[in-house]
Amino acid sequence: MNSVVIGQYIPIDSWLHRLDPRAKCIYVFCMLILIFFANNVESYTLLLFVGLIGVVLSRVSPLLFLRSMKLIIWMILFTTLFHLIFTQSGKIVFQTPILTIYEEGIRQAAIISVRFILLMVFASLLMFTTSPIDLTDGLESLLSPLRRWKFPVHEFAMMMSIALRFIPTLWAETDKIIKAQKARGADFESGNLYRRVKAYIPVLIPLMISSFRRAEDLATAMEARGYVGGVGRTKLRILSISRSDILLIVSFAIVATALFWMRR
Amino acid sequence: MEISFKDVTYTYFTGTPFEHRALQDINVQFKQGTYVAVIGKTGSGKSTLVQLLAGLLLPTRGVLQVGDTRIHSRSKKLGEYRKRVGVVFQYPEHQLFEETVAKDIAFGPNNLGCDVAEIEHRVTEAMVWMGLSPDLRDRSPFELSGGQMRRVAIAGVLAMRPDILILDEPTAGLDHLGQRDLLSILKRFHQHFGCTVVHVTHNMNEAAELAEQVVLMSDGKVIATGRPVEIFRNLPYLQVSGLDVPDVTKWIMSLNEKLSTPISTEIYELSTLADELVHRWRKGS
Amino acid sequence: MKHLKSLIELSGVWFDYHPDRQMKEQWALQDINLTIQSGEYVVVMGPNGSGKSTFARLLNGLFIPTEGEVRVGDFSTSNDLGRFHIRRKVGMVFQNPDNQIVATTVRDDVAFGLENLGVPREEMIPRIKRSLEEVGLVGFENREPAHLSGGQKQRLAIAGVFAMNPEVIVFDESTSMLDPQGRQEVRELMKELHQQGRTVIHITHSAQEAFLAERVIVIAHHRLQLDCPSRDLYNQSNLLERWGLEVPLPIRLRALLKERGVELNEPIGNSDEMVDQIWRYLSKT
Repeated sequence: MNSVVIGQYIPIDSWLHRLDPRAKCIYVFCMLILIFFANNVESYTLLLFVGLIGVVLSRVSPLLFLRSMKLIIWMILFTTLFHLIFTQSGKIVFQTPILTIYEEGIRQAAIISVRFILLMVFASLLMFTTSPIDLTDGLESLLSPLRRWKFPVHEFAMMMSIALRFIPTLWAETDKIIKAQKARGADFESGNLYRRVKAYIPVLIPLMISSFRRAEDLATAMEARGYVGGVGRTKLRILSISRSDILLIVSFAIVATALFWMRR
Repeated sequence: MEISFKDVTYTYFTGTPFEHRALQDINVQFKQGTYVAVIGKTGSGKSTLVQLLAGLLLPTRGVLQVGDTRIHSRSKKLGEYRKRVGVVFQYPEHQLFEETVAKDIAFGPNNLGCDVAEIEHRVTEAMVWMGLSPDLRDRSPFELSGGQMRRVAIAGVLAMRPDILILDEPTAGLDHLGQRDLLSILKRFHQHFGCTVVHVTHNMNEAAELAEQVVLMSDGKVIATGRPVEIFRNLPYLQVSGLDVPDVTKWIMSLNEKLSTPISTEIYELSTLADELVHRWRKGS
Repeated sequence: MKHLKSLIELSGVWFDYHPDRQMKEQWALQDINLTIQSGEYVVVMGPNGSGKSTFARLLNGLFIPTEGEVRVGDFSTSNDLGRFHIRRKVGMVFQNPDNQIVATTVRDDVAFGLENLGVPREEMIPRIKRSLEEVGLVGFENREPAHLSGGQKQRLAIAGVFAMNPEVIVFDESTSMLDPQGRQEVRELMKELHQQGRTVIHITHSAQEAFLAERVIVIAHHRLQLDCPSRDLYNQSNLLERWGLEVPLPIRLRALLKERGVELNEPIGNSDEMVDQIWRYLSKT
């Protein structure tokens, strides 16, 4: 079917959606680092508060943020358990013959959990409010200094954008081929791992062949439309830093300063 | 095997923002051995209908009864059922994957559990049916022309000797000769094995020439079903569904506008029309 | 008589993908000599595998003749500079609607060609708007290509070409993968582009589409077989059978009547004239 969602982008309009993707990328990247500098209740409260403001500003349903937590719930549970069991310093909070839980253990478990949650919230904010194509544009622009060292920035961005363009097409194609082979009696559901992997060969080969054909067609079509690489090209999409973007960066500076002041 | 859809509804992506009802309360029966044409615009639900029949999708509501098999929303293990249904998807040449033509055609019979001799026999037979010369057996299917690849792919389905043969736009993209040859093969195959054929098409000429029963779909519903004449004389229904009448019918209708005694629009064969015209002329003179 | 000037000229063109491996009699295209005037609407018809798509790709330098020359205006496709200019003059719409859309939204895809030409952004925006108006996709600017129908995808491809403002638009079987509705949409656009004074070259295997143009060229067995006004072709369209092409219904009917001893010899140029003729014939008696 056509309705495959690319990435996790939620196509609505909000202040965060309208921000320049470069500003958002830099902000989130710096924020992910900043999270590791927080080390007490006040600083984590501050960051959680900032995250919450982000969620509100994005106008994306909080449920979707909760759903994205599902991805890391096992990591959180595992590390929490790990710290509860193996951290052995501070006051004893709870003691049974087989397990002793220390205050420091609880503290560490809480810190790690909150860090995971914060990482996920900020990453989701970026993914939810930035369309894949804006993300590509942003990356192209941010990486453009690398051109000096012969890094093919334009080609890289073009590749990403074509990949994004064809994900739904290939998805529909995969669905069709799986159905066609099922109708020819192929069995994808039973047998051991080896047999199941092998069962996908009749899907993967046609998919590969059709991808090659598509690539060839697309290359021809691009050539016919005058594509000769990045040189001399103009661009429809332009990124421009607005007041909002500056506001975003300033807000980061304030949060960072506050955080370092709170650190003990 | 008699096929019967009872109040079948199918919804894609139930419970998501992309929810989309593709079929609504479908009630339709096909008798064993009938050649059925399913016509309708893109998005009318034809493809969903045949995928349900093929056991590739399960009804969201309602029941599909095929012989002794009942298919409903919680049906499991349709593998055995699917083996009795052959599906020729649109552009079936895109499903070829084996190193040789013979191996690719053998994929279906092999999955059915046929023994080596039986597989061999069926591959040879299917190639004869599709007019593929025996020296193509060991060629790679990917070296063949588009038209030949299509024949190999269809041979792979025919080799399964399905009780029900589903054809989704089998002539799409073929040129005139290719279309004509393929349709005549499919017609003979149907007559020879007596299998039920369900043929999805945009082409009213195909439907009129081949079908014993036509199913007209629009907007996820079956608007009408019956013999071709019953469907194609109902111009308003067709137009509402965004479809046209067969070329012959269209031509007869424009002639009828000028005639006091109209020519029957039940004629779909051009030679029959010629006979009728000559007959009228002789009668007149 | 319209004032026409010769725009595309093929002289002594031979082409093959592997000229060193093949006998010259088996080359994909053999000895093509042809002139197309500015503002013409030409259909190039041929069965699948006849070399007609190869022909299309010679017109804008995607393929370069192995022997002979293709000239468009003052340029030849045989050198880089010539191809650079010819790509701006000759736009091309391909067969598979999916495989020619580059960008992730409708607007960005129309922009693609303009970006390649280095058109400044201020100029791009009105040209994109104008192109989307032309093909009727206003309001679809931010749609993803995957959410368009086949006909809409082809219209998008046309918008992308239209934005580059070429003198010639070549349609390389651009209708063959569409449903009847999409096909109709694209045909109407072709007609409109022609009426605006653009040269339209439509490659197809459908005889129905051939009669929409002013001039028909038949390529079969790798050679140019016929080149005449479409009206003249109508009467001799039994010839089409020889190349595996479809003969229009009224002409087939006329042949069938002749077999039955009724000879209608007045020339006809379209289906309506045939209706008239039969009607007169029937009323005479």
